[in-house]
Parts: sequence; C-alpha cells; structure tokens
Amino acid sequence: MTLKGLLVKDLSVEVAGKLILRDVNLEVRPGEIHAIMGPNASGKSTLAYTIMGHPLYKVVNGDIILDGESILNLPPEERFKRGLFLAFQVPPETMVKTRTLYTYLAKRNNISFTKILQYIRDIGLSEDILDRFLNKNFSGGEMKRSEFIQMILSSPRYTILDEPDSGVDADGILMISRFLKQLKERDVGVLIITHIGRVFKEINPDAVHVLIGGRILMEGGPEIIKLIDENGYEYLQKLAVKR
Amino acid sequence: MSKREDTDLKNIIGLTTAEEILGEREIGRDKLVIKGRISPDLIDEISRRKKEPDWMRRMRRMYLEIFNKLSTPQWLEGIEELDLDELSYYVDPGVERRFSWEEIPKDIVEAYEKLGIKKAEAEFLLGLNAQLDSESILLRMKENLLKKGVVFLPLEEAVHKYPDMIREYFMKIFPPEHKFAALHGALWSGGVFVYVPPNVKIDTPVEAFFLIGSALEGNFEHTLIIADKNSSLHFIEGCAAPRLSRYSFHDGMVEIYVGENAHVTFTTLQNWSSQVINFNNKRAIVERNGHIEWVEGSIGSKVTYVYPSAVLRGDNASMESYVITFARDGHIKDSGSKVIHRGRNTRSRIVSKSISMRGGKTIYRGVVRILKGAENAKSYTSCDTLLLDDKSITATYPHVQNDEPTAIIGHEARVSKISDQLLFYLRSRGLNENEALSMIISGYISDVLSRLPFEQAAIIRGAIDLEFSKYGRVG
Repeated sequence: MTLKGLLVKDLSVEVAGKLILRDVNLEVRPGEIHAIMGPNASGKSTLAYTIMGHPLYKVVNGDIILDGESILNLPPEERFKRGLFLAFQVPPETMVKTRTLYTYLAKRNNISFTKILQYIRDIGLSEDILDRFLNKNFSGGEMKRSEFIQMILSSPRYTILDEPDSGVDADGILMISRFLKQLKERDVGVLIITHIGRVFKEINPDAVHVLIGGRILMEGGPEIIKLIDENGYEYLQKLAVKR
Repeated sequence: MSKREDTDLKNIIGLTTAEEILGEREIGRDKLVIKGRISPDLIDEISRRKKEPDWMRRMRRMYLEIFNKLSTPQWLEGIEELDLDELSYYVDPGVERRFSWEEIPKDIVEAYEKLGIKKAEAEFLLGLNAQLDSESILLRMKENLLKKGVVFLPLEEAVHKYPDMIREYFMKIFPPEHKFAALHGALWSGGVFVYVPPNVKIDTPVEAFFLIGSALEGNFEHTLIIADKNSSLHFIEGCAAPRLSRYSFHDGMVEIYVGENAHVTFTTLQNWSSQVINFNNKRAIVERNGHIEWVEGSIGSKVTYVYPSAVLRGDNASMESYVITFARDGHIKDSGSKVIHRGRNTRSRIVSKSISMRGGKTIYRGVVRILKGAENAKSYTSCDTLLLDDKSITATYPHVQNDEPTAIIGHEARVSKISDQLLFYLRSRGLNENEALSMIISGYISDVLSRLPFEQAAIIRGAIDLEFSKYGRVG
C-alpha cells in the first residue's frame, strides 16, 4: 500500500535560468500542518508554484509525489483535479466575474449556490463580490478571503497557503487559525507559508521548515517559531551554519 | 488538449460557428446569375428583372455614375483580391418567396434549421425575413405584428407599395459618400423595409437573416427602418455562409430613421464564413428624444469594415453603440462607431471590445463630431483590445472634432494581454488553458453581452467557446 501524502523529494528548481530551490525535501501527511518559514526572497513562493505546476518553474532535479504517484509531468489543472489546491499570496487581477469561477468550482463538488452565499457571509465578505471581476480592486483582506472561499469550494485533500496572513488584520489572523483547525479535523494536509508565526496562536503546526536561500536550513517543531520571533532569521542562519 | 475535453465542451455549449455547421456545400440550385462589367445595361437588367418603377432604375443609374467618379478609399486594407469584374452582381436563388417553411425546398430549409433560425422564428421572433443570395425566399410574421400595423416587407415590394416613403428615405440617411456606398445604391438587391407606426412598441425582436450560398457573389442587401414618433423596435440581422471555394463580397447597407421619442435597437450577429469580404454601411438619423442602440457582434468573415453611425439631429437624441469584434488567423476587423452631434443635450456612448488571436488584426476607427450649437452634448468612447498572443495586432484611430465649447468628450483606450500568471492561476483552479481563455474572454465582453437577449448572448459565447475548444492558443 502506498503511503498517503504530499512528498517533495530532493527538489531543485530553476526560474529563468536561475537556480532558486536546492534539494528541498518535505513530507506532508493528511491532517498534518507544515509551516514553511523564511525571510523574503528565500524561495517560499517558488516552492508553492512548483508544487502546483507553474509552467515557468523548471524542476531540474527531484520529484513531487502525491499519494504515491509522481505529478511532475501533470499540468496545473490535473494537479488540482487530484486534490491539490494553492491559495495565492497575491492572486492576479482577472476579467472573470467572481460568480463565474465560484460557480464553476462549486459545480465540481455539487455545492449549491445557496451554500456559496452562506460561505461568503460566514467568511465576512459581501455578496456583491460575485458581480465584481475576481481580484480586481480587491482589498488585501478580500483577496485572502476569496482565496479561502475557493479552497472550500474545491474541497482539496492537500492545500498550500502562500502567506495567507500577510496584509491581514487581527480578525483575519483569527479566521486563518480557525481554518487551520478545521482543515486538520477534515484530514487535509496543509503546507502553510509564512514569515511570522502569528497564525499559530491557536493551533500548533506539526512541523516547521525554515527555508533560507532556497535551502531548508532547519526543521523541527513549534519551538522554532519562538526562536524566529525572538531572534530573527539572521540569527537562525548563523546557528544553522554553525551546526 | 485532449479529444475528450474537446467533445465535452462542444456538448456543453451545443453551438458552433455557422461556417462549420454549413460545411462546404453550396446552398440552393438552378440559380440565375447576372455578371459582367458594371454598366448602365447591367443595371437596367437588374431593374427589369425586379420590375421596378422607372424612378428606381434612374436612381440606380445615378449611383452608378457616382461610383464611377469616386476612387477607392485609400485606407482600406485587405481587399487586394477583390476584383469587381469577376463577381456576380445579382444571384437569383431560383426560389420564389414564400410564407411558410413547408413551401421552401428541403435542402435550403435544412441550412436554416442547422443554424437555429427556424427554431428562433418559432419561439422567439415576431417576424423573420430569410434571404438567400440576392432575394428574399421566406417572410414570416406573427399576428401581433400585423395587428399593430407594422410594415415588414422585402424592400423590392416596398418600392411598389410605399414608393413615397422609399423615395424620401432610401439612401438619404446614408448618401453615397464613398465608392462602395455608391456601388451599393446601383446594385442593391434584397433586404427589408420596416415601418413602425406612431406609438407602436414592438418588444419582441424581428429578424432578417442573410445567407450567401456560393462563391464570387456580390451581396448588396438594403435594410431601411422607419420608426415613427414614440415607437420602439428591436431588429436583429444575422449573416452566414458556408465555406466557399473563393471569396464573396458583401456590401450591405442599413438606414434607420428614429423619429421623435422613438427607440430602435439594431443588433447584428455577423458570422460570415472566412472567405467573405464584408463591407457595411450603417447609419441612423435620430430626432428629438429619440434613441438608437447599435449592437454589433462581428465574429466571422475574412475582412470586415463596420462602423455603426448616427446623426443626432434632434435635441436630447442619443446613441449607444456596442461593438464586439473578433479577428483570428490573419483576418482583419476594421470597426468602430461614428456619431455626429447636432442637437442640444445629445448623448453618445461607444463601447468597443475587440479580441485578436493567432495573427488576427483588429482596428478601432471612430469618429466623434460635435457641431457648433450642439450645446451640452456628451460623448464617451471606450475601446478595449485583448491580445491573446504576440502575433496578433491592434490599432486605434479615434477622430474627435469639437466645435461646441460646452460639449464634454471622453475617450478611453486599453490594450490587455493575458499574462502567464493569470493563466496559471485559472489552471490551478482546474480549468485547462482553453477553458481558461474562454472564461477570460466571456468576462471581458460580459458587460456588452449582458445587454443582449439571452439567445444572442449564447450565440456569441458559443462561438467564442468553440474557437478555443478547436484551436487553443498559439505559443
């Protein structure tokens, strides 16, 4: 029997001829929350995009395995259909009505329109978002919430959250914490990218991986978050080098 | 993309382009054709066949003289293969005009059935004039239209029955100011005449549907609409042709007189096959408090020149013009809107949305002219282009001339490209590349589509979806 999980094996990734990620290894099992932490430009979003299959991110070495099967040669839409979801840090402005994409996603999972409206209300958005162009002139909070709604409508088995906490107010942080709890309860595997540990006030991640300069420099439990909060990444970097 | 998805998308939409539906088969048989050098004798023969009164024959001759004097417009691009001497100027489809589908030869009805026109006529339209080649072959009218006193006739018959009105308006709204308009006046055949009496409101659309059945035809149908005081009308014109072995030339004209307080919506769904050279002449004159709304969905053809226009003659007269054009594979869409403000407080709003893909070229060419005395006139133009790849081209040539200091004129133009990031985003939500493009384009033109009746919006959406299910994106 193959082991369930999202596996990243010895992954090295190039963007526009430049090596961004080197030998990254991860194992996210269903119901686990893994935090990827690291300073700006350390390769965190590259990791998210590569797992989801962005065509401009070239895997030069390694593999990505979803529930026992390599997904390296699958286009993004197939990865989505196999239960993978990526909530973008900054989703691009579209010319697509929010309603169009939401109903498209809901249809796949037989979710009714009434239910969509309920999700919109519960997450603290206004219904008129449906008639706006998706992500166009959305506030930071609206963008994050909209990504979460799409995640709910897609009911993924593994989800990558790319900095869901950036540019979000205190209520938003609380909401994300609650989501993490729910995802765990539903046995969803979560890879959450963040550079500060605020979202883990209510629920601790199962593992923390520190990504600096495209490499995972340190791994461990929630104690690393405290380390980062108190000393910053530079200290961690020195520590890792010493080790 | 995979074969399976391809069929799925088609099933969902259930629609396809007219050219694909009709295939390569010519429509109609035993046609009578008039061709040869364009001369007074040729004009006389067309006139004789139509048993026209002499005033119309003389009018045709006059337009021929003007045609001979005028030179071909310098700016026209893409008509190099057009050789007027090899065209048939008049093509009698070999079918007498009838009032019921049953009386039309089966193979011809089949074409209209396949295009959904027969169904639309039964379920959705108040009247239909179906034209094949140069003549009307079917005229259908619901009782409601007759009861209200609306005149809905092939123009040939109107020449006999309503000579005064025809003489007053025919080519008076669009005088032959360029060579092709003059040629149209000399060779016109087919088209409809509509008269809506005062205070009569027609909310359900009437349609004229034009089919070009074979290659190397010249098609010169003329639509003349007179909406009397306080009346309203929604007119739809549709065009289609099978895949042709060589080009055909369409040089039609639409003239609309919008009386005081009247309201006319004129919708075109142009779906000619990709061999047709399509030249249009469309203009309305709008009286006090009148309103003209043009909706142009230009999907097919090899080259199209179309500029729905209006002269806002009366105070408070207004025009709205929505133009959607779609150019692919080296095809050219040269389109836009023209408006002349003469009355006080006149308003115009021009919204153009064009899409270029796989080496298609879209051009916006518009005119906003505000005459001295058109106090407080307001005009707003917005032209957007969506480029799907680097091989596709777009250009914008707006022309604005204002002589009235109190006028307010706005113009916005945008060119958008579909970024890799946007495509990746939608693909990460489970859409393949073609579905993503089709969703983006539907959204891009949604504000215009939302103004159309459901059936028409579905046709345009369907045509777009088909494009992307079939070819996908280059590069």
